[in-house]
Amino acid sequence: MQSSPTTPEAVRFRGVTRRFGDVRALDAVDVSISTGETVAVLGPNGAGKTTAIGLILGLTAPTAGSVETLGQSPSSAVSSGRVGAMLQASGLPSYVRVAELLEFTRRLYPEPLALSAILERAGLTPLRDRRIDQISGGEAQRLRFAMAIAGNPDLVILDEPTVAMDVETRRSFWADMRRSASEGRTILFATHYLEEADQVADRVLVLDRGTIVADGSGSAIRGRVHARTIRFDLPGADAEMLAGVAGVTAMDIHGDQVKLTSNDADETVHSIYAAGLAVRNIEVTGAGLEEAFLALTDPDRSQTETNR
Amino acid sequence: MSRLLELVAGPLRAMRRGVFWWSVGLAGLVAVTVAFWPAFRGSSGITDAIEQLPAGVIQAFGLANFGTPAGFLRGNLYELFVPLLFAAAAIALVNGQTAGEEAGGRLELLFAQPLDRREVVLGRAFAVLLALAVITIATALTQIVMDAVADLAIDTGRLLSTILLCALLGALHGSLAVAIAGLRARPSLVLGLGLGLALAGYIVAALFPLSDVLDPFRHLSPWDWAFGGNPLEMPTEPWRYASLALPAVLLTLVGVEAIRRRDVAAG
Repeated sequence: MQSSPTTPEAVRFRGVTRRFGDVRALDAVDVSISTGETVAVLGPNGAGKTTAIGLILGLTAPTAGSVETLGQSPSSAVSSGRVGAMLQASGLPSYVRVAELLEFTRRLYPEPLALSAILERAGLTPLRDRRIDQISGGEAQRLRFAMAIAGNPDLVILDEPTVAMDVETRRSFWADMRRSASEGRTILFATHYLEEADQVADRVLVLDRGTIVADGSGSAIRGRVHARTIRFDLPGADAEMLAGVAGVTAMDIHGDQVKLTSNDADETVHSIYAAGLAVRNIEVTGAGLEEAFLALTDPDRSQTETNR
Repeated sequence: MSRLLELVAGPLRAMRRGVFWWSVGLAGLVAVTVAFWPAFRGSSGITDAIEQLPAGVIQAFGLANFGTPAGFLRGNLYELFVPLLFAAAAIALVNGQTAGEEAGGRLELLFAQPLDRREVVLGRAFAVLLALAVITIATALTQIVMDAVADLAIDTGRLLSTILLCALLGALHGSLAVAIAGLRARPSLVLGLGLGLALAGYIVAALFPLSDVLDPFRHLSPWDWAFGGNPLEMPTEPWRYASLALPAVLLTLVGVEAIRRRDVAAG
């Protein structure tokens, strides 16, 4: 990490609005992220996650309001070499080798990691002499991650970092991120994988239609939703009949296995038994982050999925 | 390697195939065309036949004095095809290095690193200039060698001036492409508008002299600034080089400043 003076806030949005034509990608967003926090940004497609990241990196300017990154303008923060970014849609130059690109990148920063350390952390050591147009999608994603950490930055921004990574790579990636966070780095990542947000982040921001609809720890956000999950086995489950059971807001049926989301678990269980359904192995649990996310971003949703 | 050098060397490396094929294409066009010179040399029949054509056609395609070395080269190569190909090469190379790179998300990646946007875009513009220099040298060497092979007697200095004017006209259109890409990074827009303006410039310079009303406006065309002095037969005034080079520098700076100020995102 850089030895430059630290600021209490890694990112600060003050009344930030960003419009694209008639579309408000972000709408009067106020948020502050402290240094050393690991923050996940969740939201459906088009919620404004990538726009927010573009603003933090100075790639996009706000239509109204102001953005500060590490206590300065985003472009100054990026120029100072204190920010590392892994962008979702970024292309890679095809004409160079992995080690050449990383060597070029690390030398842009004032206090970079050693090339061997970058390769090791990203699991790219065996690929160091591979041309970039000959690596797989998952390897390219690891290379983007390597570029993000090459400069040993104070603030690491990751947009959908584990897309295209296999399970093992994803696990080692998050282990590395946890280690980085324990060293005092601020990590901000946007993801569609809710379990990643739940397991890795100290704080979760839920964006929907350009506004922050929830801000807190994963458990705090789950606690805001009264929904419960009811799982049971029911041979020949009738989706239409189950949709009419009291309290049910969503349902997922796979063969004989039924998963109901209910806003009144007691009433739902009572109704199931009162209807004489031959349910087995019934289990009632608190809502997961996924249910909370759905409830927060689309409260009216009543979803039924059947897969027999 | 220093950072600035890498910002030029990287794009050059990326363009190497394109530069090779543009060089081969232009050198091939010159070689094949000049190879036919012995059949045209001193042929009064061809000259007489061309004189039967409407004045507009002779003017538009530079066919006057077709039986002379200068007339043959002008009509076949340097009135339209070579300058237009230089312009097309410059526009295509700039497009690939600016709007194309932005649409592919590669500029976004660079701009999220501690690099000044101006350094990045100027590095790319300079790389395209070097690429044009390679294409120019390939064209000039082929022309000189083929002149000797086909016994086409022409002043080498004036020939080189003409090819340099073609290259500068190309650089001017390349800088126009930088400006368009700086203002609005859409590859199709950069290619379409860039090539459209190149053709419009040619039409203004070639056809406006046929109308007394339009003739004064031919001086608005960079093609007129480049070739209005008949560089294959007359010494080229220094201002003609400057009239192409200075706007090229200005347009490049416009593009660089525009891209520094606007949003950047993958297409």
